[in-house]
Amino acid sequence: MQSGQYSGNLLQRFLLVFVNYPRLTAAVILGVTALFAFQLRLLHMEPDISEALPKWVPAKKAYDLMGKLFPSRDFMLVVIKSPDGVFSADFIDELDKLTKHIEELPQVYSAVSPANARVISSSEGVISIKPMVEVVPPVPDNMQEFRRVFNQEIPLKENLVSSDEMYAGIMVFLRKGVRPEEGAEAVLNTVEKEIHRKFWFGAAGRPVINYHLGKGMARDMGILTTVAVIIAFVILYLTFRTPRGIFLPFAVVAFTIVWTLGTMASIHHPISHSTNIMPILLFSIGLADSIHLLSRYFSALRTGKENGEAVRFSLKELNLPVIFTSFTTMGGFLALLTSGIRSLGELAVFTSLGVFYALIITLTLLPSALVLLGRPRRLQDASAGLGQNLHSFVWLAVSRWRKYTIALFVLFMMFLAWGYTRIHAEFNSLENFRKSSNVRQTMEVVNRIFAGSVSLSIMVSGSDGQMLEPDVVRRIYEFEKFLRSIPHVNEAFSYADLVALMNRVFTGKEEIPRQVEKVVDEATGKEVSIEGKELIAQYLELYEMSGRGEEVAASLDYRRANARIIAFLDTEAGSVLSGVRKKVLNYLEGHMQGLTFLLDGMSEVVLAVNDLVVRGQKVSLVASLSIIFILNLILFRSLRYGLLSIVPLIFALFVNFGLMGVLKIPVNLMTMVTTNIAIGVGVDYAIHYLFRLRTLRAWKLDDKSAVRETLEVVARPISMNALATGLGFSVMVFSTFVSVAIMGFLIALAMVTTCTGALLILPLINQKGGE
Amino acid sequence: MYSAFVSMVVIFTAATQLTGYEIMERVVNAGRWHDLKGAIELTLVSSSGEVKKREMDFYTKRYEADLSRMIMILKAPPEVKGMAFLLIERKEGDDERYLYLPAMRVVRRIEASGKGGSFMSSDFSYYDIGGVKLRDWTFQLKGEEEREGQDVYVVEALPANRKVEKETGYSKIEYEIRKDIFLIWHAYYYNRAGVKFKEYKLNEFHRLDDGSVIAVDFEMKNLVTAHRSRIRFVGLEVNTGVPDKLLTVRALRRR
Repeated sequence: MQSGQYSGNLLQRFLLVFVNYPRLTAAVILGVTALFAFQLRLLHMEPDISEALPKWVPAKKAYDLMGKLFPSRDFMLVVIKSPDGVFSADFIDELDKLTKHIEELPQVYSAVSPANARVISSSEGVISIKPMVEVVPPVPDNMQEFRRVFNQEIPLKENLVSSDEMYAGIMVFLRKGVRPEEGAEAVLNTVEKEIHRKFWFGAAGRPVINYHLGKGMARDMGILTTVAVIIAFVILYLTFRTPRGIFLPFAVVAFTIVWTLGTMASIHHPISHSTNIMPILLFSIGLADSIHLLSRYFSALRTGKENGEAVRFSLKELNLPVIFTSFTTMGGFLALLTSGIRSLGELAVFTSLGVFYALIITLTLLPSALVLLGRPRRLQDASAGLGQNLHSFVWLAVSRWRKYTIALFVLFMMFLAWGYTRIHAEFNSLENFRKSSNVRQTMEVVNRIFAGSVSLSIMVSGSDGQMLEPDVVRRIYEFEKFLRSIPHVNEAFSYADLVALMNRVFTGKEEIPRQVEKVVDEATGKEVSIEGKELIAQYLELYEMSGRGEEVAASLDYRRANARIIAFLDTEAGSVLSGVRKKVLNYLEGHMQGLTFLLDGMSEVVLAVNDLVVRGQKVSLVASLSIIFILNLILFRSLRYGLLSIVPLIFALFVNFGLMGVLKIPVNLMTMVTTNIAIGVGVDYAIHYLFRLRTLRAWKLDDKSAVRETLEVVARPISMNALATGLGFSVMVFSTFVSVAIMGFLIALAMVTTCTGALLILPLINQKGGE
Repeated sequence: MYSAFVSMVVIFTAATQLTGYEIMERVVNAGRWHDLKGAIELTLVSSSGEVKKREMDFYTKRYEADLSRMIMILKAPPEVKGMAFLLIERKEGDDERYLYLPAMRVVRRIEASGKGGSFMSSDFSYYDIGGVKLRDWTFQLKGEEEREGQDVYVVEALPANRKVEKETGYSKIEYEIRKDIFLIWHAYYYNRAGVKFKEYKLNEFHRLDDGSVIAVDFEMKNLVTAHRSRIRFVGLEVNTGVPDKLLTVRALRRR
C-alpha cells in the first residue's frame, strides 16, 4: 500500500505539471494533432477479407501460391438481364461489344461471355477455334442456330447463360497483382458506361464483395461517425448542460481519432473491414473518461471549490481509476491478438493505441482546458440532468426488493442458458449485405439460376511435366465429374476439358487419351503407336498456337507441374461448404496418390474465417477475462475485488451469447469482437464502483452504508457513461453491413448489461458478505 | 573518308525530308534478304520469374516487301518436338496457319479469328511476328529525338481502317526508329481502349554482307502483366536459297 500511495503521489505530481502549464500543454496537444491530421492524407482502405487470414492458414497460403503460379487469381461474374431473352440478335451484339471492352481493361486477364465463348470444331482438315459470334453471326434468322451451337459446343455454359435463359453472364478473370476491388470497380464502371441502363446488371464474386465492402466501409465511416457525434452531443447536453461539458469531451475523442488514424497513415497501414469500426469504438470509449472527470469536476465546484482546486481534486480522485479503466480496456482489446485473425489483431493494436491516446489527452488537455476556461458562470443544479434518482431506485432493488431482483435474475439466466445451446458459427459475406442491396440480389440470382457465385479452386501438384501424363489428366477429368456430382457444386473446369475437347476434334471421342494411342499416319496410311503424354502436350500446344494461350495458362503452369481446377458453388453456408470440402478432400486423398493438392477460393476463405472465429472466440474470451482479472488484482491488491470485477462481465457475456442463440445470430468475425469490447469497456463500470466502495470501506463504513453511498456517487456517472457509450455503439445499426449492425446492437446491449452487473449484481453480492 | 562524308551528307539530307511512311518503308526494307534460315529461341518469363523456353528451327522466304512464308519446327521441350507450324501471309483475306502434330501424324489448318492472337503463348502476336504491314497503317513522323544514346525518329502508326484495329487489337503504335540502321529500336503498343500495354525493344541486330541489317534479338514486354517474351535468332543464314517447296502444306505433311 505504501508503494501504491507513493506511485499515486508521483503520478499525481506528474499530472499536475500539465495543469500548472495549461497553455503549453494545450499548444503541444494541438501541435501533435495537427501533425497527425496532416498524415491523414496517406490513409487508404483494404477491404479484402482474405487479408484477415494469417499467412500460416492453408487457405491463405494457397491463395498466395496460386497468385504466384497462375496469371489470374480472382474471378467475378457480371450478370446482365435481357428483356427478350439472351438468345436475341441485338442483345448478343451488345454483349459482344461489352465483352471486348472488358477484355481490353488492363485489370482483366480474360473475359468470356456467350458472344465470345470459343467453339472448337474440325472439318476437312481444318481446325477452327472461333468465338460464337463468328461461328454463328448474331442476326435474327440465326438465333435458333446460335442457341443450338451454344448449348452443344460451349463448356462452362452454366455460368454464361442462366437456366431460364433471361440472363447472360460474363466470366471475368482478373490479372494477378490487380487488387480485387480495383478490378471489380473498373469492370463495373465499364459495364455501367456501355449498357447505359438499357439492361439490368449486377455482379458477383470475391472482387465484387471486396468492392462493395470498400464502398460500404467508406460510407459507414462518414455516416456512422456523424450519427455518433449527434447522439453524443445530445447525451452530453442532457448530462452537463454546459458548453464545456459538451465540447471538451468532443475535443478529446476527435483528437484521439485523429491521432490513431494519423498513426496508421504514418506507417502506411490501411483501414480494413475490422479497423473500419475503430473510429466509432474510440468515439464511444474516449467519451467515458471525460464524462467521469467532468462529473467529478462539476460536483467539486458545487461543493464550493475554486476552479483550479476542483480540477486538481478531480484529477487526484480519478487519475488511478481512469488509468486503470484505460488499461483494462486495452487489455480486453489486446486479447483479440490471440484470435490469430490478422485484421482483428490490427483492430486490437490500433484501438488499444487509441485508448492510450485518449487517456493521455483526457489527463492533459481536459484539465488544462478547464483551468484555461476558468470557473463556469453558472453551475447546473445538482438535481437537474438525467439519472439523478437512479441510485435510489437501485438501492431499493438491492435492498427492499432483493428477493424479487434475485428471482428475476435467475429466471432470466435460465432463459439465456437455453439460448446458449443454440449458438453456431457462420461467416457469410452474402448475408452481410442488406437484402435490398444490388450485390446481394445479384448473388442470389447467380446462386439460383447460374452455376454459383462462390468459387473453389483446387491445385494439384506433381513433378515437372507430370500434369501432361494421361493418367493424371484423366484423374483430374474424373475429379471434375465428381465435383459436379456434389450437391451445390454446379460447374467445374480445368485444362483437362480442353484436352478432351481437342481429342474430340481429332478422334471424335471426347475423352482423355490413353497412355499409348494408335493412330493412322496421314502420309503413309499405316497405323502407328504414340505416347499419350506427347499427344496431350501437342493438343495444348495447338490450342495455345490458336491464339488463346491464356485459357491454358489459367489452368496449367509453365512447368506443367501444377494444375488448377475451378468449381462454382451456389451457397456460402458454412455447413454446406465444410461438407463439400470434406467430400473433396476424401476424394483427393483416395484418387490423387503421388500428387499433392491445395484448396483455395472464396469457399476456403469462408471456412478458414469460420474456423478461426470458433477457435479464436474461445481463446480471446479466456485471454481477455484473464488479463482483466490480473490487472484488477494489481489495482485492488485483493483476490476478492479482482474476482468481483469480472462478475458483471461474465453476466454480460452470458446475456450476449444467450441472446445470440435466441435470436439466431451466428458467431462471426464481427460478433467475436463484441465480447472483447464488452469486456474491455464494460469492466470500467465495475472498477469505478469497486474503487469507490473500497475507499468508503477504508473509512470504516459498514457494508450497507458503503454500498448505499457508493451507489449515490457512482450510479449516475456509470449509467450516463453506459448510456453514452451504448448509444454511441448503437449507431452501428445504421451500417451498410448486417454484421456491423448486429455488432452495434450487441455492444450497446453489453454496455447495458455490464452496467447492470456493476450497479445491481455487485451491490447484491456486497451487501451479503463483508470484505 | 571523302566518300564516307558524302554518304553521311546524303543520308542526312535524305533523312530530314523523310515522311513517317517513308521511314517505315525503309524499316521494312532494312534487311535486304530473300530468305532466312536458322534456329529461334523463344523465352517466356512470367512476372514471378518462371521461365519457359522453346527452341525451333525456322525457314522463311520473302515474296514481297511485307509478304512472306515461314515454317517453324519445334525442337524443345521434348513433348512437342517435331511439331511444325507453317504461316502463309496473304495480301487479301486471312493469313493461313497450318500445324503438323507428330503425335497424330496429321496436318491441320488452324482457323482462328483475328491476327491479334498470341504467338505461341508469347507477348508477340501473330501480327507482330509478320513485321510491319505498310498498307494497314497511316504513319506520321512525330519528331526526332535521342533515346538511350541513339538518335531516333518517333513515328506514330494509326490503323488504316477499323478492320485492322479490330484484328490486331492495336489502336496505336509508337515506333522509335534508329536513324543509323532503320530498325525499330523501341515500340509501344496501345490497345483498343487506348491503354499502352506492350513495349518492344531491340537487343541486337546483325549486319548482312550487303550492309543491310536484320534484328536478331528482340523482346516484348507486357506492361500490364509484366510478362516478357524474347526471341533470339541463332546461326542465322541469309539468302541460301530456301526452296519454295519447303514452305508448303505438302512439305509439312511429309516431315
